[in-house]
Amino acid sequence: MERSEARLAQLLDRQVETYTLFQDSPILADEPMRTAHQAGQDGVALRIRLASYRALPLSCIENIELMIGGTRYPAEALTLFIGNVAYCPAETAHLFDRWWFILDHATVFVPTGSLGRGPHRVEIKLATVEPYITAGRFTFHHADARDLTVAEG
Amino acid sequence: MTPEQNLPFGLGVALHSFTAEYVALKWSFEDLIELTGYLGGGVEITGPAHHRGYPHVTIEFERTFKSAVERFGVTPTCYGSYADPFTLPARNRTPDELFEFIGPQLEGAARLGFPVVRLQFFSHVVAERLLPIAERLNLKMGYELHAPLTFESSTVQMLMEQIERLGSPHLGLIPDCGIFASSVSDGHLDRARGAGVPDAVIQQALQLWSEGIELAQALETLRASGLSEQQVAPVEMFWGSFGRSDPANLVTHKDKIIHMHGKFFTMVDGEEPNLRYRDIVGALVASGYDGWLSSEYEGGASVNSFNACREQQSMIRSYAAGSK
Repeated sequence: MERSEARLAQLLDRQVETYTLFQDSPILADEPMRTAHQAGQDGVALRIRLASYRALPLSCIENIELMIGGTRYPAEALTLFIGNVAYCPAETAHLFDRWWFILDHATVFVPTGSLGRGPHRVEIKLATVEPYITAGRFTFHHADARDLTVAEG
Repeated sequence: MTPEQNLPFGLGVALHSFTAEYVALKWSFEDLIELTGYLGGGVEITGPAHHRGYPHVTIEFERTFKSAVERFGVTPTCYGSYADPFTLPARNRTPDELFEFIGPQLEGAARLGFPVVRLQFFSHVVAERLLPIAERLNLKMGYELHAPLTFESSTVQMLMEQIERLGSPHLGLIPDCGIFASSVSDGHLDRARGAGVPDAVIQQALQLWSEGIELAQALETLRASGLSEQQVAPVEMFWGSFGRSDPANLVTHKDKIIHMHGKFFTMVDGEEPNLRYRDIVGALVASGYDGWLSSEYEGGASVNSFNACREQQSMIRSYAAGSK
């Protein structure tokens, strides 16, 4: 077996920042938003990660909402892409067999119209349910905020 | 079981321990398998965390997993299934839906080479229906006894009665060491303070916890003392992480125990300050337990999870040597 202190050190010393789940989980990807067009609307697309330790079915995504430059976009206004399939985040309550895997980005289209290059203050709220915690559907409320520029999509 | 010196049972890691590094993409899934080779060699995975396609095992994942197990010389010990009863907002999963959800997880676990599957206790309503599948696949299913459950709780008494009634070697128990606690961790107390819970309410919560008052009743008392709804979650975690079960149950019920979850939250000077590991290991040695124990780290990301597991396993080995 290829085991050695040198190989172990190689794995342990990789310089990647970690964070404590459910407390500091980053949701917004640290990269520019992209200009995008969806269902006849201009806007931006940005990528997000799930803030859990395991994949969740879309029926457990209770709410997503964004604030970009002071303007609020509720779930009904957004389009959520999981693996290139489009969903309205306000209409996923029945989707028990569509999964968001823990290592995958989802993409959110926000109908902002034409935004300038920025940077813009972007705030996200994500409410998810862990579908087994003892007393019933237990909702975790996550939030994240970043200053993001807009690049051509 | 690995031929460890002084250790009658095998040690390994639940890959859940490495969650912080895994989700931050410091370590790939295969890196996690590789790391278990340095930590006793037993590998335990969690379905929805570790493979796309869950609850089904894809042929790609089967190849990846088996190749990593072979390459790094480790042993699959337990597959973490879920019942996920509260998946839909409108209603809970029906027994038929539980059966349809858990069945494929048993099939997948067997294909991957796991001898044991962790069941969440909600699965009990379909355990009898799942037994023929477990028998065909030569799998053992075990109810995880996780806080707030304890051996002494009515739910677990019910599970044990079912196990006795069904009388099958394919159904047993997987105690999580978090149920054998002597105290609640400082980390949990800090999170409650951080959520604004007043010190007096925290002290009252700890008093109720130490008296063995069950969660529902304790929350009633604490709400009356002014615990607000936003503050319930961090206080609930005192009961959700730490139980007051007696490790002697590991001897009394040894015939039902098919696997062990070595839950731990923090190591201080080579010991886990809140969990009764000396008593746990003593009981496992006394009972002749010869299965696997998966280290399961659930502390914060400020500590390297590999080093935490290594320290915990040293502690377990030294307690085992000391209890002979």
